[in-house]
Amino acid sequence: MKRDYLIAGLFFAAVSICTAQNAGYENGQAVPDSHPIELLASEITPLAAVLRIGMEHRIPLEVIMGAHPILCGEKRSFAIRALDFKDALYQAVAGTGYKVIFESDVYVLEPPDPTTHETKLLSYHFDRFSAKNSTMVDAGALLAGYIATVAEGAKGFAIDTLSSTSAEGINLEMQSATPREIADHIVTQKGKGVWVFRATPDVLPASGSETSIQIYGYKDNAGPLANLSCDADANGAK
Amino acid sequence: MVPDSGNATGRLMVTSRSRGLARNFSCGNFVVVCGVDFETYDNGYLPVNSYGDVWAALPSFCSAWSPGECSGGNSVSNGSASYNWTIGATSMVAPASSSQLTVESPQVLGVAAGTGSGYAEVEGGSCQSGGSGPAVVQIPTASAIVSTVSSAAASCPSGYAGWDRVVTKIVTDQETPPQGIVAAGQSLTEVVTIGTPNALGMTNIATSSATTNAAGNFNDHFLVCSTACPKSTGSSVATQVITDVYNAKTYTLTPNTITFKCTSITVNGN
Repeated sequence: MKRDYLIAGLFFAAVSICTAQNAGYENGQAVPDSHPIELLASEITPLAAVLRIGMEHRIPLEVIMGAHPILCGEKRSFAIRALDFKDALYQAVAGTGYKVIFESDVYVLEPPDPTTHETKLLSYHFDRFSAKNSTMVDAGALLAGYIATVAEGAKGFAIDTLSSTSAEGINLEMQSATPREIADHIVTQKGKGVWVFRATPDVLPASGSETSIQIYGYKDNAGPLANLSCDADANGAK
Repeated sequence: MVPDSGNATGRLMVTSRSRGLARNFSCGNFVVVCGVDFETYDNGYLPVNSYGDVWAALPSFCSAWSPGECSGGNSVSNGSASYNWTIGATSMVAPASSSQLTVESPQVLGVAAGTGSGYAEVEGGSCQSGGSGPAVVQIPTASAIVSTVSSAAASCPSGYAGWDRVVTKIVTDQETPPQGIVAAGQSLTEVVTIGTPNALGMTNIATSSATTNAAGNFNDHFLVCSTACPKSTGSSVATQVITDVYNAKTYTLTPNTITFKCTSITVNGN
């Protein structure tokens, strides 16, 4: 009997060590426990592969498109087998030049060619940001409005977002935060989500119709996420 | 025995002293259809391209002394009946299959917008009874506000102010007055275009998509922030065009006019 307990104890200790090794640290933050990740898919873009991994495992994601969003480049086959999310995402974006970083509880896909305008917009500091009883999409649309008005000097903006009556509601109140911090915070709420920042030209067109940032919740926006492209217009942003 | 003529209940006994025989008989009993409770569900509304049971013919049963004695009997809880449905205007509403024409509540398909009808003849014990009801096949035509979830000052960036309103809506049909289409799974997307006047200086409208719930409802969230607010009494107008994909068919709904002001947001004046 005592021998059985001893074996069980040794086994438990061994498993704990393995888990601790897999957990790891990055940028001073604990990377979540590893999970075996698999993705077998053919004829999809790297972006679609990333989103499938994110959706299946509810990983908070940040995708900065960059000047030439090759995440939506050539479709190919994926046979991803990884021990952790970061490795899985690395395999998904292999050959695109994108980096995968884990920061503020969010996996970040950083482009090889961020535009100056993108970098500037994402590091702008808002005095406050508040979204109450909002869906993730609502909060993202509001943040896009903040960016369009405050950072780009527009006189006004509006949002008109449709949602299911059962969509998850979130409440946010942040002080002195950048769009990146705000969006990261949004996608770590409830059922988690992904935010996408599209390449915006250094000078906006006169119509000002581009929506720079879009946020999707995995629970409520599976449809739009499955069809997400790198082109803003193809995603219904007006 | 009852000496006078007429109906009676009881037991008949026949005895024969010479044969030393005694036999008894009970009176025979039949169950007949003696009425039909005809029910029309959801006022007969059925979304186009969807299947549903719009009507039910629920027979009442009575005991009878003989087949074909269709009234005057006592009500009984059980019996058997056969059904024969006739559906009018099959170009609008049609049975899901021919076998559905012989069941209590047939599955029917909404074929095209318009009004059809169903008539049921129910037979049991050589007695017939019938009933009929309408079917209105609904086609997604417009959207309407069901209720306001919230309406309050918006949380805007510093130096900006505005209004924030969330409403619950339903897709409505072609009827006059329009009726809501109670159907889950309608996939809605929208295009919003800024028009004139644009006193609040809107240059950007973010949009999104939704799916209706079992009651056919979805939420629509409007918000405006402007440097012209809160002082301005002017308005900015936008046109919202919602596209409804339901059962693999696409319907473009009647455009809505959204009026944004510093202290209100209305849709078609509501």
